[in-house]
Amino acid sequence: MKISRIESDVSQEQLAEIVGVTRQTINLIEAGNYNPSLKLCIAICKALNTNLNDLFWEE
Amino acid sequence: MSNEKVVKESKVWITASLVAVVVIWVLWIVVISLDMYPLNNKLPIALSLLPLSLAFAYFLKLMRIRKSPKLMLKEIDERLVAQNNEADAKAFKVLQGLLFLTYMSYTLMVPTDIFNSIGWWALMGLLLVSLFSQGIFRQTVCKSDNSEV
Repeated sequence: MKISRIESDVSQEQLAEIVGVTRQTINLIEAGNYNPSLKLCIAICKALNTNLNDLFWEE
Repeated sequence: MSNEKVVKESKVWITASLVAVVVIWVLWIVVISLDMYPLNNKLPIALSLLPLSLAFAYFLKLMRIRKSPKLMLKEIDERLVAQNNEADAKAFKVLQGLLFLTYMSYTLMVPTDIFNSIGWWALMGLLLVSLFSQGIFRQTVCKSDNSEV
């Protein structure tokens, strides 16, 4: 998710504001310390112009 | 929780608290004018203190949100909402435990009050409510979730 966010040139702060959470929550998701709800995952995907598979699926 | 929901909830709490204060004072004026009971004059102040402080707390919250919309994020962030819910649940469990201990110690220490004193009945009632309310509310939530499908 961090790579995708950097590729989209969006800061944690900006992404947090778009999806309606705090910057800390985005930070915890990126660090793998918080499991977001499906609703939040979809919101992040839309904000970063990507899909759930690319963003959250681990090979 | 959405932004509108937080603002709406705060407004509902403020209105309900102020209505409670008005009701207390109207009842107090009626009681005094009818000369029904020789009650303590401090009673309405003491009773309206809690809803007034509740209304004030929600008013402050609304003001903070209006001043800085970024604060709203803390109210709607699902992680923080979950944390708050967890803290509420823990606080409830602690209170339930304290209530249970109080009930047990009171029953064991003052056996003459069992089934006799209002305090004992009140304590038992509160304990029973605390034990059963969780299940009742869970069922209500399940029903409303099922009806939304």
